[in-house]
Amino acid sequence: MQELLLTIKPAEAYNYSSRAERLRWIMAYRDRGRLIALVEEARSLGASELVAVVSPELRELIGIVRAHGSLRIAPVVPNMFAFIRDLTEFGMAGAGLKRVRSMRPRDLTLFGMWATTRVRGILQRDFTVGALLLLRMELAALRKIGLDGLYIHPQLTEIALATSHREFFERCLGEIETAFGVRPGLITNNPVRARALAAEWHLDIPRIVMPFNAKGYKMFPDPHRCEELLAHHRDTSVATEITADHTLAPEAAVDYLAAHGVRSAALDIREVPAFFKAFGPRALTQSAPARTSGP
Amino acid sequence: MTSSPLRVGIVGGGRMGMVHGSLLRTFSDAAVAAFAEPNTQLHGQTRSQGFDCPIVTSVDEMVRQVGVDAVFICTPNSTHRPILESCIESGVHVFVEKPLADDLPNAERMVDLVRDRQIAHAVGYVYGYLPVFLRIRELLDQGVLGTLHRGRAHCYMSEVFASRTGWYYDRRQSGGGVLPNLGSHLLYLVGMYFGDVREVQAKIQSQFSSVDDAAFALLTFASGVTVSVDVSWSMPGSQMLDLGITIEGERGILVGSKEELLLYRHEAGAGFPQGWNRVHLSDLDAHVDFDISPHIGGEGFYLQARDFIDACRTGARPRSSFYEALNVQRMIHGMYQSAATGAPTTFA
Repeated sequence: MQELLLTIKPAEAYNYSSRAERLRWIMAYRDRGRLIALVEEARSLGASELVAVVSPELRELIGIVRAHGSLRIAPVVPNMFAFIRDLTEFGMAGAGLKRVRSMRPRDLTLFGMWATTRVRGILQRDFTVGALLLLRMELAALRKIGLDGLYIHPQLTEIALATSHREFFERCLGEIETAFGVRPGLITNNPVRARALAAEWHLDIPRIVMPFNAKGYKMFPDPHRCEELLAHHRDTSVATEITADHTLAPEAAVDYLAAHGVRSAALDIREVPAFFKAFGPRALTQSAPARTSGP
Repeated sequence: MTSSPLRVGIVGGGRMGMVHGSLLRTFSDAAVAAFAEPNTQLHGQTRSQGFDCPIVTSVDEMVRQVGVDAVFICTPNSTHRPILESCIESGVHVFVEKPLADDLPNAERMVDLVRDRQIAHAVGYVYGYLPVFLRIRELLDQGVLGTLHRGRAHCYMSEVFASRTGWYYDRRQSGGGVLPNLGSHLLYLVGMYFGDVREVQAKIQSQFSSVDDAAFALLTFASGVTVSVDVSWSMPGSQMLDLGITIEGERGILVGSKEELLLYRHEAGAGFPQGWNRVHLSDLDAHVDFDISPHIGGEGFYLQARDFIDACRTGARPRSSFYEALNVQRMIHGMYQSAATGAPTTFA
């Protein structure tokens, strides 16, 4: 393996097998030192990029990681579940206003200029314009942190993949790259469909993060086709769900990745303790990250 | 069996209409033929999501002029019955987003409308299609727990901590609060495992919204088994639906969640050794071609749509038909009535 990513999302956004486990992780997130220790353990395992769904509780962690420069930062935007919650609580205007308030004056001006040219689409609740609106608002608020990479939130991606929404992908990837200098990747449980559509549309997707594990967990439409797909796209595929929801031992997970020549994999923050226990501070990647001191 | 794709009409251009419509686009044997949405301001939004089919303003227009084989009714609960009445004579198959209706009389009327007709009918109890919950049903059918003794079930979400607006929180449109919205998912599972409800005793609370935010009930089923149910959409810590069930029987205990089931057997048997056994979602086969919602159990949405489309073609009864949904509606009705009167509600 050449590259290891560390993924994280708000503690409440995970599925858990029990309420006790859910509360244990929620409390772990409240302990900043514990979170930083997990990030450091992941870094010692070879993680070089933090892929994070940005929430208020994780913003501080991302800021600390950025300040230390130990990992590249790649947000997953927009935070769809936070948006849906705000939508039901404050309505469309209130949810938008909440995001606008988090923007700096310069970004607000740029955003306003962009939005005035899309008034019709905004008023008509155009799907692509709405997605771009959300993306731009969240990315503008993240500009001060700095972006090394970027991923579209999977809930948006899956809906657009289902309807083969070419305009959504072309505009989101293209406009965001132009505005923020980073071309977004995708996180999807439907990589076979994503690759087929991208080929049909001649669309360059820099990275696709896809479930890939020895149990075939979440590998749709079937594990064999996902294995074939990854074999054809090793440089632009990232394996995730590598322990099949914590049901595979770290050694077995890594063996499967090695057997299939996986070059990039993602380790979730909740998987870090088991991997650190199994491998210690040895890097799973062939070349360790450049920096040696932790945050 | 016909080889042409099933022509499906989606009634309602809101969130669930979009989810079902988008998912159906991934099926080779079904096609979204039309949307019906009375609010013309939503037509542009629907089209912008990639739907190039006709978008009309009434169900009647969709059924009689555009022509569809099946409809997905994804509108506020109080509209389910009138929409069904407007299209049932056309002989279309009907899928209704849960719950079946806003109250028990309307649900009973809807069951009467579909009874004895050669149509497929289903209600969107998607959690009943999640592989772990399906496996639990199989294990119970195989007698892995023997005679069932009692159960406990919960369903929590962090959603309502202040007064809210919208039809979910308007009793005239929704028929209630957390019970028909989230609780009905749990009640469907309870009905799937324990059968027809006979007696309900409940307490209900409205701490934040104008509808019920939390409920606790004891349900007694025809088999005599009693199950406690705890439901809340005002529970901190659960952005994703936290749903679980524990079933105790003469041969052991089964604890189930969306992700896994834990089975304790007092003695070896039924293919399991004595003691604790774990079956995780990753151990189960699920023939799913597309995952529309990875965080919420997209396998369930796919398997649910597959079941309904197959039922339209073969005449088989979908797993979550109106009959199973009526049992859920009885539980909801019983809980409201019991909470209001302070006495148990009984059903024949």
